[in-house]
Amino acid sequence: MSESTQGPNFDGLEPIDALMCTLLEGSASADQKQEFLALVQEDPRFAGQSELLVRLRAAVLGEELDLDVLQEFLGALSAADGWDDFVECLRDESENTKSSVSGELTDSIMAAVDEEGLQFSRLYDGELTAEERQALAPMLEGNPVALAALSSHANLGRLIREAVAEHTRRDDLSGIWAGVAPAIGMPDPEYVEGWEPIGQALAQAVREHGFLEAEALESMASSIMEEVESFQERMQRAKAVDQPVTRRWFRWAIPTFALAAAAAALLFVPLIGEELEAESEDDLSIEYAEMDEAMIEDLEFAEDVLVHVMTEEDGSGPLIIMIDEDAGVLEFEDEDEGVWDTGEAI
Amino acid sequence: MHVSKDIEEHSEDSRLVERIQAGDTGAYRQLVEKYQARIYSLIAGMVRDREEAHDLTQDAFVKAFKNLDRFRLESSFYTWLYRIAKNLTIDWLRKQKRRRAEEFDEGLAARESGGTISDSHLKESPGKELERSRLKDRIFDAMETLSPEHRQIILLREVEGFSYQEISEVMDIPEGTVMSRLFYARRKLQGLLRKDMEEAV
Repeated sequence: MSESTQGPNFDGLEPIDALMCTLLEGSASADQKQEFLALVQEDPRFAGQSELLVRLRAAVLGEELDLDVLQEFLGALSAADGWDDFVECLRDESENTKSSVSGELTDSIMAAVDEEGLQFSRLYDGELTAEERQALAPMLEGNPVALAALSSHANLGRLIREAVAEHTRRDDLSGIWAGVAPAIGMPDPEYVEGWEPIGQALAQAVREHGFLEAEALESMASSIMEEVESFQERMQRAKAVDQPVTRRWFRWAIPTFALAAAAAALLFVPLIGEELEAESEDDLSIEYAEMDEAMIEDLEFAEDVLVHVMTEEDGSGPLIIMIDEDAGVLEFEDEDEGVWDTGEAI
Repeated sequence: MHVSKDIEEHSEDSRLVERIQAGDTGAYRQLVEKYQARIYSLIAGMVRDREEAHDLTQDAFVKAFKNLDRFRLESSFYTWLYRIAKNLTIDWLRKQKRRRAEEFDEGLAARESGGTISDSHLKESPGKELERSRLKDRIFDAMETLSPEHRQIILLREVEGFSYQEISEVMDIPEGTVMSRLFYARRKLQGLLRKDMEEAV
């Protein structure tokens, strides 16, 4: 197979055939198409077939492959090198699936070309009938190709399973129901009794942040802090009336508190103590930390603002700052990743 | 034993669906919590972006609920749910493909950053975690070269352990097509991941 043929592995095929499979599969790059056409042009099997080559060129470079032209092309190929099965398979398939994806054709072609490989795949999947297994048994004994094929399937399967598990293992799915419930007419499980007016006040404050002068910010901070304090009382009242309050509420309550406080504190970042996270009945405490004590964990884009979600280096609590649309680029230094920035303002 | 577990699961699901159909909407939560991890894993294997996978999982459950009156109790709820999730995911992938073509630069930037700028793995244990994360990325890169249909088949087989017949039912294609698609998908991935597979051995 040609070294320049990237992507699928069509072992054992000539470069021209491998490129054709890539074309059929629909993943051929512009370079691969040109390479394929150049190979066809030079191929003695197509000497004197200029009309076919012109149509083939149009089919290959066009938006959709013309299967009739490809069949004709394959016919010319097979005339010299025993690709009859290949062509037959393509012809049968194309009759049935002309309107469907060309990938189907490639699958069938590859399966037809490598019948043995297909059997190993089915054997590995436990999909052979008893008779088929018996028929295959003599071929399996001491057959290194069979062993390699089966262990390759096993390794691939393991890699895929591990990759998917790795990809999803840290994901918190507890919010799935919270998203589904309101959409199907159930009460929002994240609804917290008494939160709405506070949330609205904070949201309003955050929205107005960009337009406030420094003096106004100070008074806004005071009013927000008053609301935050009364929130604790409201929470306690809510508990007293046996309103179910799950741990989830603080997931959005903390950012909202912190956003509002950050609006007031500008370059300082508020730290909400673990007391709140533990959902205890202790007083809510908000402390401030300097930027160099913080470590950025994640960036989230809100509607109008860029929100940095951060934690202290000792991981003691969430830190959040808010940057408005005119914030520009901020640079941060990280031991592992070096200096990086927030990118241009949103 | 496996069969009896399946039957038990099937009848448990059917009972829940009957309750929901009779108006006990709250019972749906049990179905959501029972299947959310499996549906999410399969979608996350297809779309890679976790937030999108999360949203698509929610959408699948919402859509399933809204169409529950069409569900036949003798069928498997999970198979039916998966079919809904599959259709939503493929729709999303197609839209994404179109959008990516239009917003190539933005898409590239998002992919390079993996959705978030920092890598929480680095914080935990740099060497092994990082290598695992890179291997995962290579596997997902390879999976992304497959068509959505091929990707689904390999995930249904390798992650869910579905038989050809079950895959055929879920994807509404003949078993022969399952066989050839799976064969092709494996062959292609084995080619792309040869080095990783050798190292894994």
